[in-house]
Amino acid sequence: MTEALAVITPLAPAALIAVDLWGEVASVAGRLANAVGGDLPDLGRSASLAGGWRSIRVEPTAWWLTGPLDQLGATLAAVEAALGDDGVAVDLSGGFAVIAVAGPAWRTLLMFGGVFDAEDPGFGPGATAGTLLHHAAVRYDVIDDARVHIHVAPSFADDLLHALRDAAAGL
Amino acid sequence: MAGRMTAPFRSASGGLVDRTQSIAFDFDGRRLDGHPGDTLASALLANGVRLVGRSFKHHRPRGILAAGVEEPNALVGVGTGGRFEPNTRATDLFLYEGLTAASQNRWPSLAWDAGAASQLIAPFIPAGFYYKTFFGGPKPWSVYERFIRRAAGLGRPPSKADVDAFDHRSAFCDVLVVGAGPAGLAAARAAAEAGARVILAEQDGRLGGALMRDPAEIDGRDGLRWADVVAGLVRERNGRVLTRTTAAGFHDHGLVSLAERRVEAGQAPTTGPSQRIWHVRARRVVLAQGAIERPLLFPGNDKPGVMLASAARTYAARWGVRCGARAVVAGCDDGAYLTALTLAEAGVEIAAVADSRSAANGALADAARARFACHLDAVMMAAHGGRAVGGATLRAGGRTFNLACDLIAMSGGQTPVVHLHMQAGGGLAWDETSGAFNPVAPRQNQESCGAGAGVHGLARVLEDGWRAGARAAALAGYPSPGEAPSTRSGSRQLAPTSAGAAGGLPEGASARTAFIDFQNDVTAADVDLAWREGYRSVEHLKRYTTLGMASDQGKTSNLAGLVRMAGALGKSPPEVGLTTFRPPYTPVTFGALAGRRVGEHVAPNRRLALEVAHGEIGAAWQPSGYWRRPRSYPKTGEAPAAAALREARMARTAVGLTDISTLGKFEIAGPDAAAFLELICATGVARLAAGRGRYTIMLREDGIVADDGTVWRLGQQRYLMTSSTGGADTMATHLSYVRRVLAPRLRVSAVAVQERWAGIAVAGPRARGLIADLVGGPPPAHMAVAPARIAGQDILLLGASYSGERAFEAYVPWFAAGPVWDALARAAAARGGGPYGLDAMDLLRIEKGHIVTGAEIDGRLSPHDLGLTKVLRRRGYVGWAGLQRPDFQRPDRLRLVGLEAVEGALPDGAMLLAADGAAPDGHVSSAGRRVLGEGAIGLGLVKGGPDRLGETLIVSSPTRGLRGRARLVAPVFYDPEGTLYRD
Repeated sequence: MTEALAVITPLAPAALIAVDLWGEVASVAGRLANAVGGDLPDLGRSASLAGGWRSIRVEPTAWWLTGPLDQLGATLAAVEAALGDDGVAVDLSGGFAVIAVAGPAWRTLLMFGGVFDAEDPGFGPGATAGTLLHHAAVRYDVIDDARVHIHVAPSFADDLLHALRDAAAGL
Repeated sequence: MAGRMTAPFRSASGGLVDRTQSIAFDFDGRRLDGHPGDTLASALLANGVRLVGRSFKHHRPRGILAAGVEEPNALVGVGTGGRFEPNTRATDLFLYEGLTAASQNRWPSLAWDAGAASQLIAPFIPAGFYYKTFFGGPKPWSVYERFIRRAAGLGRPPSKADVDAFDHRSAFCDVLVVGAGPAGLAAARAAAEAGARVILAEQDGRLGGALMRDPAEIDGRDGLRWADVVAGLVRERNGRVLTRTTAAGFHDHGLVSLAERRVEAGQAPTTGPSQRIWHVRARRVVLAQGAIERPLLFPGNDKPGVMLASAARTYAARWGVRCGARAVVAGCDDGAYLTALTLAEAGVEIAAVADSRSAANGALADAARARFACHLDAVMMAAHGGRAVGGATLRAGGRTFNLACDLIAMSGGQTPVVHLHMQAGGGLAWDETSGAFNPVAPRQNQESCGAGAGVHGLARVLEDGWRAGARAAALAGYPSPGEAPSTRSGSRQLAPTSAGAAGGLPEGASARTAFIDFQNDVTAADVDLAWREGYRSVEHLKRYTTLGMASDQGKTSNLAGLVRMAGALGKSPPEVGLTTFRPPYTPVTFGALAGRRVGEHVAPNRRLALEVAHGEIGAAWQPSGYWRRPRSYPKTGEAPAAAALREARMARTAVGLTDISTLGKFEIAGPDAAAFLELICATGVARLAAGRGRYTIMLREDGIVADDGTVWRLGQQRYLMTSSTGGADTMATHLSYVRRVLAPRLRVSAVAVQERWAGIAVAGPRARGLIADLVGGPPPAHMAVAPARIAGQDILLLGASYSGERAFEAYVPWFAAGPVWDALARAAAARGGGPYGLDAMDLLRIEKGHIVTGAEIDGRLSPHDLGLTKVLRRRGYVGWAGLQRPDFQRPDRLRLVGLEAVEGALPDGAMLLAADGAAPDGHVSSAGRRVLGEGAIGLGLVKGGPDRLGETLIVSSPTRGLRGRARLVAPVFYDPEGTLYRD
């Protein structure tokens, strides 16, 4: 098995907004949904939003919104307006690099150096998890049946990329 | 290669080897042939090779004792170069074309081994002789060390680096079944049928376990065919079947490590790694590892040709190999009769069957009695022969007699394999009938079944395995499976149905050559000697005699040694206790343990956004935790210290820039952000104006300084807080703890933005002008923050100084750091400046008296100790209560001072003494030198330090042979009034 079954690609920098809510989450979430063009996903889930944006729930009251870098300013402003004093949005763009792993072997690949059950059939499209991979803190976002995005601190990204490619060569 | 079958001890038919193919291999330079499916041991025996090694201590000739991983004798070195692997069990090594193996512990040859002369002095070198012999001063040791080192050890270590890769992989399942014998297969089938995701791990190359030795019919099929059906079911139900995979350890929280051999020792993989460690987390673990047969204790029991009865059966049934021409079978249960019948079918003449019991009934005994001379109340008194067995002495029916034979198949009973059960914290119960411990009281998510739980007889083993698998699946949340497998009544059910235990050394037999531990040459006499010399604990017995040590970890010997010790003490075995079962169960190569974390990947490397830029200008790298940071940028031939001084002087006289991206950074935002920061920070931050910043310290709850940094008010409800590089992760945890636990009602968010921003510090008398030119206007004042643009990038520009110079910190999005660095570097070069690294940064900050986490902030000191009392708020921050403890007011606490060298060295970490021989008064926490002036300076932590300024202390670093004297001074050596910060 080679990279044909697990194509590993570092993605270009994207906008990343960290959203943290407090108080009455349900009502804020409703306002936010209007602002970003889609419902915020439940725990352990991610979802595509309008305009090429995607939302990932990273904590019980925290989400990431990721999307095109050129829309960062407008989206951030819209989110902040929707939040009011019920939450905070922080521009985290650049704080995480994203590595895409595509192909039928992506689940297998994540088992090398990883401690999360990526082979669980329940961990499918729209699922997300924070875990460790090759000693780096990562967040998985399953985009579709054949693709996962790995969010990792950029300082770890080169090493992780190397480790993933090394593991893919050994599949 | 087809059909080159000439092995003299291979039966004409039978066995599970592929007789249509031959495999050539090399043993001690001799070319031999075997078949696919053979182990090295079975192929050697088929070729009539019975002498395979020399014993560790006495260099006694040794043959093959077992047929599995419990083999203590037949250890060989396999492969060449970077694929050489020592101490490989010939019984656990499957043949491959070109296999090269060599016997160990002999010189010049296996047959004529000079070390065998040690047998002549064996009576003078009993257990522990070295403890009584090799003592005294260093001179005699220097004489005999080389001889001891040459004689010690098993095999020789590899001298070349591994050429193949190893890796680690995780796996999850509902039920992990360890062992694919009848019990494990039944358990796997039950769990898979119930719907559970199963991993079935088997150390052998094929499934079936005892079914390969003792054929049986299960569920109307041949046992091995049934095993294949079970494996198919497991795979079909989303499970996994792993062969050549040994469960090496059972760790906390249900983690089981499996060591998988993807190729045999010394063999080149066609693709991928040669070995893989699996980290398996299972909801339930079924342990079905079977049992290990115990040797009998009699003089000469270690001679080539003496082997375990089950092993002799295995070689005959699985590999079609006769281990001898004429055999005496000695045992303590029906296995002896079964062995005799199996060997006879393979063409071995049975000289006698010796059963230590006084009665034996049943079909097996009857069948054997009809064909062979069978003796009850019979014991093996001795084996005779030189390099191989030539005869045996039996005692039966009150008489002692000799029999000619070249094979002695022995059985002292079965010992359940309880290693994993014990590693998982389980307990053991002594079973008097079988003379062994059975697993009880599991502590984790494990259960034992089959022979590994002391269950005997195929029907009962299958039922027990099924029960364990069904129970495991049920506990994992699955319904009951269908019916248990059955073995057809009246089928050729060859598994022994009885359990028994042989006694110890026969009365009147010599203990001196009756071996308990074959691998370590420990005899019954050695155990007796240990007892006579006062060793009562089984742990002491192990250390004194080496019983149960080395690569086999006492698999065939521990219980026998324990029983003999118990007999000497007049106690029962459970009263004496057991040694600890430590992982790994069988040896695992270091390469496999390391996996892919070797070489430059031994630990993760955190790389700066500007790594390439630093590399291009010749950075010398310095590991800093996981980070790779520029230590300096030395010119050709420039020593590190000279480079650091040149760079520091550049920052003092012109302008320098340095990468500070690794600092911890947190964005604190929300209506209650100020209140939150007032909890985190011991300094006042609430009244900070927007656009301003302040130095701060953060305390642990016990009042100890955890870290220091800065706080910047970016907006009405938004702050940026920095912390040290080394403390970044700890600070993230601390912030989360305070927010979630101590102040859950605050409407605040704390987001780690460490790598959102790359950071570049610009310092020096020309820094202000440089920044002003680049941003096109006046830069922020000292401790002020403003947004700016450099090289087309939006940045945060902070007026902050760590160096003591007027300085700025430019925070730029990580992915956009390059253009900003380039612009700053060009501008710096134009002003006579350039980059500086960690070493220069250290010189600058020491001279300025700035403390650093890891040196001065060392996890022991309060703010008072560090001279920070004046920046503290009166109350209301985390750590305030802890800070009120009386101990923090003690006058002799270690406190921060400056150090000025009076004479000699001032090395980092040196002790500070009031007088020679006195207890240390403190130590040098950071050492440097004056950047523009001369002389060594440093920071130190000294008892009562600030009250002793002017005092001179001895500086002593005996481990480095350095010594000097230093004067205690105020800790700020450079611009103490801070005038350089002001524009």
